[in-house]
Amino acid sequence: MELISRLDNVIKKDKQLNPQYMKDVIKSDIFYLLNNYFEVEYSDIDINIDLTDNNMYSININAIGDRMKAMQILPR
Amino acid sequence: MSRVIVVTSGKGGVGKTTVCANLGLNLAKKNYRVCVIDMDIGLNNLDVVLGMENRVLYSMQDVLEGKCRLRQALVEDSTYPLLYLLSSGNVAHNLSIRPEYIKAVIDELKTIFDYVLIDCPAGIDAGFNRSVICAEEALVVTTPHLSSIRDADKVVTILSTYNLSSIKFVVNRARGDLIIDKLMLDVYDISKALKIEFGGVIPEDDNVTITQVQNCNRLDYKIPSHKAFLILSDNIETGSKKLYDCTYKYKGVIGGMRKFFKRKI
Ligand SMILES: Nc1ncnc2c1ncn2[C@@H]1O[C@H](COP(=O)(O)OP(=O)(O)OP(=O)(O)O)[C@@H](O)[C@H]1O
Ligand SMILES: [Mg+2]
Repeated sequence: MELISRLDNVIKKDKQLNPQYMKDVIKSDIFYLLNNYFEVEYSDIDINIDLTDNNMYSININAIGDRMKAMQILPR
Repeated sequence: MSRVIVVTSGKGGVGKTTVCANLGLNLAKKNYRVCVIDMDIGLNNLDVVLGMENRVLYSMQDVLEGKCRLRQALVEDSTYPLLYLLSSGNVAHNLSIRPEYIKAVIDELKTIFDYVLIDCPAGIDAGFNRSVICAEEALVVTTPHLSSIRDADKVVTILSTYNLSSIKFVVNRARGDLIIDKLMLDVYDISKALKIEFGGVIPEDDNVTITQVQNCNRLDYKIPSHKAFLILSDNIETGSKKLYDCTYKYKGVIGGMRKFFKRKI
Protein backbone atom coordinates (compact mmCIF):
# COMPACT_ATOMS: atom_id res chain seq x y z
CA MET A 1 0.00 0.00 0.00
CA GLU A 2 2.72 2.37 1.05
CA LEU A 3 4.67 1.73 -2.14
CA ILE A 4 1.62 2.42 -4.29
CA SER A 5 0.92 5.75 -2.64
CA ARG A 6 4.58 6.74 -2.90
CA LEU A 7 4.53 5.98 -6.61
CA ASP A 8 1.31 7.97 -6.98
CA ASN A 9 2.82 10.92 -5.16
CA VAL A 10 6.02 10.91 -7.16
CA ILE A 11 4.17 10.84 -10.46
CA LYS A 12 1.69 13.49 -9.38
CA LYS A 13 4.45 15.81 -8.21
CA ASP A 14 6.36 15.39 -11.45
CA LYS A 15 3.26 16.29 -13.39
CA GLN A 16 2.63 19.46 -11.34
CA LEU A 17 5.79 21.11 -12.47
CA ASN A 18 9.04 19.61 -13.34
CA PRO A 19 10.63 22.23 -15.60
CA GLN A 20 13.02 19.82 -17.30
CA TYR A 21 10.21 17.38 -17.93
CA MET A 22 7.93 20.15 -19.18
CA LYS A 23 10.70 21.36 -21.45
CA ASP A 24 11.20 17.89 -22.91
CA VAL A 25 7.52 17.50 -23.64
CA ILE A 26 7.19 20.96 -25.18
CA LYS A 27 10.37 20.43 -27.16
CA SER A 28 9.08 17.29 -28.76
CA ASP A 29 5.78 19.03 -29.62
CA ILE A 30 7.58 22.01 -31.14
CA PHE A 31 9.86 19.67 -33.06
CA TYR A 32 6.86 18.02 -34.63
CA LEU A 33 5.22 21.30 -35.46
CA LEU A 34 8.33 22.86 -37.02
CA ASN A 35 9.15 19.69 -38.90
CA ASN A 36 6.08 20.29 -41.02
CA TYR A 37 7.65 23.43 -42.40
CA PHE A 38 11.42 23.24 -41.94
CA GLU A 39 14.17 20.69 -41.85
CA VAL A 40 15.06 20.97 -38.20
CA GLU A 41 17.17 18.86 -35.92
CA TYR A 42 15.82 18.02 -32.50
CA SER A 43 19.05 19.19 -30.91
CA ASP A 44 18.76 22.60 -32.60
CA ILE A 45 15.67 23.47 -30.61
CA ASP A 46 16.22 25.26 -27.38
CA ILE A 47 13.49 25.94 -24.86
CA ASN A 48 13.72 28.04 -21.75
CA ILE A 49 11.04 28.50 -19.14
CA ASP A 50 11.77 31.06 -16.44
CA LEU A 51 9.69 32.33 -13.61
CA THR A 52 9.49 36.13 -13.67
CA ASP A 53 9.48 38.31 -10.55
CA ASN A 54 5.71 38.65 -10.65
CA ASN A 55 5.25 34.86 -10.86
CA MET A 56 4.56 34.69 -14.57
CA TYR A 57 6.25 32.28 -16.91
CA SER A 58 8.59 33.58 -19.52
CA ILE A 59 8.77 31.00 -22.32
CA ASN A 60 11.52 31.31 -24.90
CA ILE A 61 11.79 29.02 -27.86
CA ASN A 62 14.78 29.20 -30.13
CA ALA A 63 15.12 26.99 -33.16
CA ILE A 64 17.39 26.78 -36.16
CA GLY A 65 16.13 25.25 -39.39
CA ASP A 66 18.25 24.15 -42.33
CA ARG A 67 15.82 24.45 -45.15
CA MET A 68 12.21 25.30 -45.65
CA LYS A 69 10.16 22.34 -46.82
CA ALA A 70 8.32 22.55 -50.11
CA MET A 71 4.61 22.85 -49.43
CA GLN A 72 2.56 19.87 -50.54
CA ILE A 73 0.50 20.58 -53.61
CA LEU A 74 -2.81 18.86 -53.31
CA PRO A 75 -3.86 16.77 -56.29
CA ARG A 76 -6.91 18.05 -58.09
CA MET B 1 1.79 -6.51 -42.54
CA SER B 2 5.11 -5.43 -41.11
CA ARG B 3 5.34 -3.93 -37.62
CA VAL B 4 8.01 -1.52 -36.40
CA ILE B 5 8.39 -1.52 -32.61
CA VAL B 6 10.80 0.64 -30.66
CA VAL B 7 12.00 -0.72 -27.32
CA THR B 8 12.71 2.20 -25.05
CA SER B 9 12.89 3.25 -21.39
CA GLY B 10 13.42 6.31 -19.27
CA LYS B 11 16.23 5.00 -17.15
CA GLY B 12 19.28 3.30 -18.64
CA GLY B 13 20.27 -0.26 -17.84
CA VAL B 14 16.77 -1.53 -17.18
CA GLY B 15 16.84 -4.21 -19.88
CA LYS B 16 15.93 -2.67 -23.26
CA THR B 17 18.59 -4.62 -25.13
CA THR B 18 17.73 -7.83 -23.30
CA VAL B 19 14.02 -7.42 -24.08
CA CYS B 20 14.69 -6.49 -27.70
CA ALA B 21 16.99 -9.49 -28.27
CA ASN B 22 14.70 -12.01 -26.60
CA LEU B 23 11.59 -10.69 -28.27
CA GLY B 24 13.40 -11.00 -31.59
CA LEU B 25 14.50 -14.57 -30.85
CA ASN B 26 11.01 -15.65 -29.87
CA LEU B 27 9.30 -14.06 -32.84
CA ALA B 28 11.86 -15.62 -35.17
CA LYS B 29 11.24 -18.98 -33.52
CA LYS B 30 7.56 -18.50 -34.34
CA ASN B 31 8.61 -18.27 -37.99
CA TYR B 32 8.38 -14.52 -38.39
CA ARG B 33 11.08 -12.67 -40.28
CA VAL B 34 12.58 -10.33 -37.71
CA CYS B 35 15.18 -7.57 -37.91
CA VAL B 36 16.57 -6.10 -34.70
CA ILE B 37 18.29 -2.74 -35.02
CA ASP B 38 20.84 -1.50 -32.55
CA MET B 39 20.31 2.26 -32.43
CA ASP B 40 22.46 2.59 -29.33
CA ILE B 41 25.83 2.86 -31.01
CA GLY B 42 27.80 4.41 -28.17
CA LEU B 43 26.76 1.76 -25.71
CA ASN B 44 25.57 -0.85 -28.16
CA ASN B 45 25.28 -4.39 -26.95
CA LEU B 46 22.67 -6.03 -29.08
CA ASP B 47 25.33 -7.77 -31.22
CA VAL B 48 27.00 -9.10 -28.07
CA VAL B 49 23.75 -10.19 -26.45
CA LEU B 50 22.91 -12.10 -29.61
CA GLY B 51 26.47 -13.42 -29.92
CA MET B 52 26.91 -11.83 -33.35
CA GLU B 53 29.62 -9.29 -32.54
CA ASN B 54 32.27 -10.92 -34.72
CA ARG B 55 30.05 -11.04 -37.76
CA VAL B 56 29.01 -7.39 -38.01
CA LEU B 57 30.82 -5.96 -41.03
CA TYR B 58 28.61 -3.14 -42.19
CA SER B 59 26.13 -0.82 -40.52
CA MET B 60 23.17 1.33 -41.49
CA GLN B 61 25.60 4.22 -41.76
CA ASP B 62 27.55 2.31 -44.44
CA VAL B 63 24.28 1.69 -46.29
CA LEU B 64 23.45 5.40 -46.19
CA GLU B 65 26.94 6.32 -47.32
CA GLY B 66 26.63 3.93 -50.26
CA LYS B 67 29.40 1.62 -49.07
CA CYS B 68 27.19 -1.46 -49.19
CA ARG B 69 23.69 -2.67 -49.98
CA LEU B 70 21.16 -2.99 -47.16
CA ARG B 71 21.12 -6.78 -47.44
CA GLN B 72 24.90 -6.87 -46.97
CA ALA B 73 24.59 -5.05 -43.66
CA LEU B 74 22.13 -7.58 -42.26
CA VAL B 75 23.67 -10.29 -40.08
CA GLU B 76 21.81 -13.59 -39.84
CA ASP B 77 21.48 -15.31 -36.47
CA SER B 78 23.10 -18.73 -36.39
CA THR B 79 20.36 -20.43 -34.37
CA TYR B 80 17.25 -18.79 -35.79
CA PRO B 81 17.82 -18.02 -39.48
CA LEU B 82 14.79 -15.73 -39.69
CA LEU B 83 16.41 -13.34 -37.21
CA TYR B 84 18.73 -10.62 -38.51
CA LEU B 85 20.68 -7.84 -36.83
CA LEU B 86 21.32 -4.44 -38.34
CA SER B 87 23.90 -2.35 -36.56
CA SER B 88 23.14 1.34 -36.90
CA GLY B 89 26.71 2.63 -37.02
CA ASN B 90 26.52 6.19 -35.80
CA VAL B 91 23.22 7.21 -37.37
CA ALA B 92 21.47 7.83 -34.07
CA HIS B 93 23.92 10.55 -33.08
CA ASN B 94 25.43 11.71 -36.36
CA LEU B 95 23.42 14.84 -36.96
CA SER B 96 24.44 15.08 -40.61
CA ILE B 97 22.36 11.95 -41.26
CA ARG B 98 18.82 13.16 -41.43
CA PRO B 99 16.02 11.26 -39.68
CA GLU B 100 14.24 10.89 -43.04
CA TYR B 101 17.15 8.82 -44.38
CA ILE B 102 16.92 6.47 -41.42
CA LYS B 103 13.19 6.24 -41.94
CA ALA B 104 13.76 5.35 -45.61
CA VAL B 105 15.96 2.41 -44.54
CA ILE B 106 13.32 1.25 -42.08
CA ASP B 107 10.71 1.49 -44.83
CA GLU B 108 12.85 -0.78 -46.99
CA LEU B 109 13.24 -3.21 -44.08
CA LYS B 110 9.47 -3.29 -43.78
CA THR B 111 9.28 -4.80 -47.22
CA ILE B 112 11.57 -7.65 -46.14
CA PHE B 113 10.60 -8.33 -42.52
CA ASP B 114 7.46 -9.04 -40.49
CA TYR B 115 8.90 -7.34 -37.42
CA VAL B 116 11.47 -4.57 -37.14
CA LEU B 117 12.54 -4.09 -33.51
CA ILE B 118 14.53 -0.98 -32.64
CA ASP B 119 16.73 -1.00 -29.54
CA CYS B 120 16.63 2.62 -28.47
CA PRO B 121 19.44 4.40 -26.61
CA ALA B 122 18.73 5.47 -23.02
CA GLY B 123 17.67 9.08 -22.48
CA ILE B 124 15.54 11.35 -24.60
CA ASP B 125 18.00 13.12 -26.86
CA ALA B 126 18.49 12.95 -30.62
CA GLY B 127 19.12 9.18 -30.57
CA PHE B 128 15.79 8.61 -28.85
CA ASN B 129 13.99 10.85 -31.28
CA ARG B 130 15.56 9.16 -34.31
CA SER B 131 14.53 5.76 -33.00
CA VAL B 132 10.97 6.69 -32.10
CA ILE B 133 10.24 8.70 -35.21
CA CYS B 134 10.73 5.53 -37.30
CA ALA B 135 8.45 3.35 -35.17
CA GLU B 136 4.76 2.61 -35.20
CA GLU B 137 4.56 1.04 -31.75
CA ALA B 138 6.54 1.44 -28.54
CA LEU B 139 7.44 -0.89 -25.73
CA VAL B 140 8.63 0.91 -22.62
CA VAL B 141 10.83 -1.21 -20.36
CA THR B 142 10.90 -0.46 -16.66
CA THR B 143 12.02 -2.27 -13.54
CA PRO B 144 9.52 -2.36 -10.66
CA HIS B 145 11.44 0.33 -8.77
CA LEU B 146 9.97 3.77 -8.14
CA SER B 147 12.82 5.63 -9.83
CA SER B 148 12.53 3.57 -12.99
CA ILE B 149 8.73 3.79 -13.14
CA ARG B 150 8.93 7.53 -12.63
CA ASP B 151 11.28 7.87 -15.62
CA ALA B 152 9.09 5.52 -17.64
CA ASP B 153 6.14 7.81 -16.96
CA LYS B 154 8.06 10.77 -18.39
CA VAL B 155 8.94 8.78 -21.49
CA VAL B 156 5.33 7.65 -21.93
CA THR B 157 4.24 11.30 -21.90
CA ILE B 158 6.82 12.17 -24.53
CA LEU B 159 5.93 9.11 -26.62
CA SER B 160 2.31 10.18 -26.64
CA THR B 161 3.32 13.23 -28.72
CA TYR B 162 4.58 10.91 -31.48
CA ASN B 163 2.41 9.20 -33.99
CA LEU B 164 2.37 5.74 -32.37
CA SER B 165 -0.50 3.32 -32.60
CA SER B 166 0.33 1.57 -29.34
CA ILE B 167 2.45 2.21 -26.24
CA LYS B 168 2.82 -0.69 -23.82
CA PHE B 169 5.22 -1.38 -20.98
CA VAL B 170 7.24 -4.37 -19.86
CA VAL B 171 8.29 -4.89 -16.27
CA ASN B 172 11.74 -6.42 -16.17
CA ARG B 173 13.58 -7.90 -13.18
CA ALA B 174 10.43 -8.55 -11.16
CA ARG B 175 11.00 -10.54 -7.97
CA GLY B 176 8.14 -12.79 -6.94
CA ASP B 177 9.40 -13.15 -3.35
CA LEU B 178 9.20 -9.37 -2.85
CA ILE B 179 5.93 -8.93 -4.74
CA ILE B 180 4.20 -11.55 -2.61
CA ASP B 181 5.16 -9.60 0.52
CA LYS B 182 4.12 -6.29 -1.06
CA LEU B 183 7.71 -5.09 -0.98
CA MET B 184 7.72 -4.64 -4.73
CA LEU B 185 5.06 -3.21 -7.03
CA ASP B 186 3.36 -5.66 -9.33
CA VAL B 187 2.45 -5.14 -12.96
CA TYR B 188 -1.12 -4.02 -12.17
CA ASP B 189 0.07 -1.30 -9.75
CA ILE B 190 2.47 -0.07 -12.41
CA SER B 191 -0.18 -0.18 -15.13
CA LYS B 192 -2.45 2.00 -12.97
CA ALA B 193 0.31 4.54 -12.45
CA LEU B 194 1.49 4.68 -16.05
CA LYS B 195 -2.05 4.51 -17.41
CA ILE B 196 -1.03 2.21 -20.25
CA GLU B 197 -1.40 -1.52 -20.88
CA PHE B 198 1.28 -4.03 -20.03
CA GLY B 199 3.04 -6.11 -22.65
CA GLY B 200 4.52 -8.53 -20.16
CA VAL B 201 6.60 -9.15 -17.10
CA ILE B 202 10.07 -10.72 -16.94
CA PRO B 203 11.43 -12.09 -13.67
CA GLU B 204 14.85 -11.34 -12.25
CA ASP B 205 16.76 -14.38 -13.43
CA ASP B 206 20.48 -15.19 -13.43
CA ASN B 207 19.90 -17.15 -16.61
CA VAL B 208 19.56 -13.85 -18.49
CA THR B 209 23.24 -13.18 -17.79
CA ILE B 210 24.32 -16.82 -18.09
CA THR B 211 22.71 -17.21 -21.53
CA GLN B 212 24.52 -14.08 -22.69
CA VAL B 213 27.87 -15.15 -21.26
CA GLN B 214 27.62 -18.62 -22.77
CA ASN B 215 26.80 -16.97 -26.03
CA CYS B 216 23.89 -19.28 -26.71
CA ASN B 217 20.62 -18.01 -28.04
CA ARG B 218 18.80 -21.26 -27.73
CA LEU B 219 15.48 -20.80 -26.03
CA ASP B 220 14.66 -23.24 -23.27
CA TYR B 221 11.17 -22.68 -21.92
CA LYS B 222 11.96 -24.48 -18.69
CA ILE B 223 14.02 -21.42 -17.76
CA PRO B 224 11.75 -18.84 -16.07
CA SER B 225 12.94 -15.76 -17.99
CA HIS B 226 12.78 -17.63 -21.31
CA LYS B 227 9.21 -18.66 -20.57
CA ALA B 228 8.37 -15.07 -19.64
CA PHE B 229 9.86 -13.80 -22.90
CA LEU B 230 7.76 -16.34 -24.79
CA ILE B 231 4.63 -14.99 -23.10
CA LEU B 232 5.72 -11.43 -23.89
CA SER B 233 6.16 -12.37 -27.54
CA ASP B 234 2.70 -14.00 -27.58
CA ASN B 235 1.22 -10.78 -26.22
CA ILE B 236 3.02 -8.68 -28.80
CA GLU B 237 2.09 -11.06 -31.60
CA THR B 238 -1.57 -11.51 -30.79
CA GLY B 239 -2.46 -8.64 -28.45
CA SER B 240 -3.25 -11.12 -25.66
CA LYS B 241 -2.72 -10.07 -22.05
CA LYS B 242 -1.11 -13.12 -20.51
CA LEU B 243 1.24 -12.68 -17.61
CA TYR B 244 4.13 -14.74 -16.35
CA ASP B 245 3.48 -15.40 -12.65
CA CYS B 246 6.70 -14.46 -10.85
CA THR B 247 5.20 -15.34 -7.47
CA TYR B 248 4.25 -18.98 -8.09
CA LYS B 249 7.58 -20.29 -6.77
CA TYR B 250 7.02 -18.52 -3.47
CA LYS B 251 3.51 -19.69 -2.71
CA GLY B 252 2.66 -22.42 -0.17
CA VAL B 253 4.89 -23.92 2.52
CA ILE B 254 7.78 -24.87 0.24
CA GLY B 255 7.49 -21.50 -1.49
CA GLY B 256 7.65 -19.78 1.90
CA MET B 257 10.86 -21.63 2.71
CA ARG B 258 12.30 -20.76 -0.67
CA LYS B 259 11.50 -17.13 -0.03
CA PHE B 260 13.09 -17.29 3.42
CA PHE B 261 16.34 -18.71 2.09
CA LYS B 262 16.48 -16.37 -0.88
CA ARG B 263 16.39 -13.38 1.45
CA LYS B 264 18.96 -14.90 3.82
CA ILE B 265 21.59 -15.32 1.13
N1 LIG C 1 15.48 -10.12 -16.06
C1 LIG C 1 16.78 -9.99 -15.78
N2 LIG C 1 17.35 -10.74 -14.79
C2 LIG C 1 18.68 -10.61 -14.52
N3 LIG C 1 19.51 -9.77 -15.18
C3 LIG C 1 19.00 -8.99 -16.15
C4 LIG C 1 17.61 -9.05 -16.51
N4 LIG C 1 17.39 -8.18 -17.53
C5 LIG C 1 18.56 -7.59 -17.79
N5 LIG C 1 19.54 -8.07 -16.97
C6 LIG C 1 20.95 -7.66 -16.97
O1 LIG C 1 20.99 -6.27 -16.74
C7 LIG C 1 22.02 -5.65 -17.50
C8 LIG C 1 21.47 -4.49 -18.30
O2 LIG C 1 20.56 -4.98 -19.26
P1 LIG C 1 20.46 -4.33 -20.72
O3 LIG C 1 21.80 -4.14 -21.33
O4 LIG C 1 19.47 -5.13 -21.48
O5 LIG C 1 19.85 -2.91 -20.34
P2 LIG C 1 19.63 -1.64 -21.29
O6 LIG C 1 18.37 -0.98 -20.85
O7 LIG C 1 19.72 -2.05 -22.71
O8 LIG C 1 20.88 -0.75 -20.92
P3 LIG C 1 21.37 0.60 -21.67
O9 LIG C 1 20.47 1.70 -21.21
O10 LIG C 1 22.78 0.79 -21.19
O11 LIG C 1 21.28 0.34 -23.15
C9 LIG C 1 22.63 -6.74 -18.36
O12 LIG C 1 23.83 -7.19 -17.77
C10 LIG C 1 21.60 -7.85 -18.33
O13 LIG C 1 22.18 -9.13 -18.43
MG1 LIG D 1 20.98 -1.31 -24.28
